[in-house]
Amino acid sequence: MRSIPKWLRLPARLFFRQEDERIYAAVRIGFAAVALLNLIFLWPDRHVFFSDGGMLDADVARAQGNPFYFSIFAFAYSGAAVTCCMAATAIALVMLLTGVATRLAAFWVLVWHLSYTARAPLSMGGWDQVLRAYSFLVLMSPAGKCWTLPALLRGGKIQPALLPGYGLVLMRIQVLVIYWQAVFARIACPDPYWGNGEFMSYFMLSHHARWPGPWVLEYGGLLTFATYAAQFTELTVPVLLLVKKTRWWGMLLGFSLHAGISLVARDLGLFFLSMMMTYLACLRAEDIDRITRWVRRWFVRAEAAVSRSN
Amino acid sequence: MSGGDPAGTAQHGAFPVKGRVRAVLLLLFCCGHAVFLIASIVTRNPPPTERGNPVLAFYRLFTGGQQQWNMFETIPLLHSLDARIVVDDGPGEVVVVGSVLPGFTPYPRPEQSRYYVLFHRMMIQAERPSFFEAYLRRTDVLLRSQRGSAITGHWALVVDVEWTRTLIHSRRDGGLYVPASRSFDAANPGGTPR
Repeated sequence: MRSIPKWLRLPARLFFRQEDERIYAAVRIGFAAVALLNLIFLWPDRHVFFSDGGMLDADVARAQGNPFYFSIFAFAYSGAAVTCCMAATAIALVMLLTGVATRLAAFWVLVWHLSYTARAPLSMGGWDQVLRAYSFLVLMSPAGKCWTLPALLRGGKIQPALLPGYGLVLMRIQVLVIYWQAVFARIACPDPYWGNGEFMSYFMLSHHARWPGPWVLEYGGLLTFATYAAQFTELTVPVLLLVKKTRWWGMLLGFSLHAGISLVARDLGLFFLSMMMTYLACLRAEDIDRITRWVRRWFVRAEAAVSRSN
Repeated sequence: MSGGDPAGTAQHGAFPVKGRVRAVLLLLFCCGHAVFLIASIVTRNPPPTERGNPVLAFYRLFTGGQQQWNMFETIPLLHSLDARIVVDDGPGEVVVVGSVLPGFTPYPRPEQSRYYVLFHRMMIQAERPSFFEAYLRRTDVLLRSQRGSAITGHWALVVDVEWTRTLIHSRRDGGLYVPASRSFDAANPGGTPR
């Protein structure tokens, strides 16, 4: 193997640092599971959003493509064709989840995400953007053989390989972008309601709220604190996640933010799951070891409990 | 550990990726994409109506979209939304049908976020008015083809919304929301208050 030129050593150290392939496997499985769930939720409304008889005119979608319209729904526009496309995507996602023909499956999943976001841009949520960005990163990341169905069928204990970490580095940067762009947007165009702490009160009275009502007016102080806490969390979570020593604190803080939002808001569960999926890229080999040991211990205990009850 | 090349890691001064040219290209791409991502934290993307740099837009399209993460940049003021189509179906007869195509099915209750953002963006924010105009035109064609001469002249998409009042006003008298209603049709996509 040829040595790295001097001028490339610093980026090479960053992007080609060896990482445990189980981290890639965890991201792949997490991503495929959330994308599959998203597809399942989209399924009943597929004709409304994607077919030529639906709410969004195909010609308008095509005309608004910037710089051009890239969507499989330019060809598959009838109700039956849309159904076939989504069924094919479901198969691809199961393949990605199980690590069968990973690269091919990841390619189709990227095409799917590009296609449906271009076809129905007005009905997209934040989690669609997260999945779309990650579908590209999953495709370009090393696939690995760990935690795949073929490896499982071959049997035997597989030692996890070391793979270059460029995919994980880019995924971690993507997490940073998600949070910090929101923070910078508020700095660039200050919103008075985020600034004076009233945002959460309005949020809790809005369409998004699970329990809107007069009680919101009584808890103004608490909701002001929640507004500032949310902004503080957005600012600090990416830093905590990127630093090895504080990554668990970052995950805990981020989990609290998104779980809290999911609890008080309706219909944002997929955003919570998508963001938790992005955190998987911040795991380290020792975390996977710890989690694996914990899961094994849990299974042994469950097995023992079942045998005792029998 | 197996499968990797521990002796050939970047830390040891050699590429851990097969093929020198491929490795350099991959590395350059990673550096470029990292810079692109980090730059997108501070640079605001052009609105969808602006074309911008086509090469950058092409790259953006395939690698992650517009990267607009605003997380409720502005306050959500809308509390509820309901949309239905009211058809003047003969002398003195009014028929109400759902607003969701295909099939004129009812606007879902309880509201689903995808439907909510779709109608909200189409009508209230007027983010992309041509989608709304196309929807109204198609609704007109479908209603006339389905109901034929039964439509004596007029139909309208009626949208009822409730806006959240300012906290100061709500605290003063306890009222949280203000209802408003607007109707639209193919000839009048801007709508008129009802």
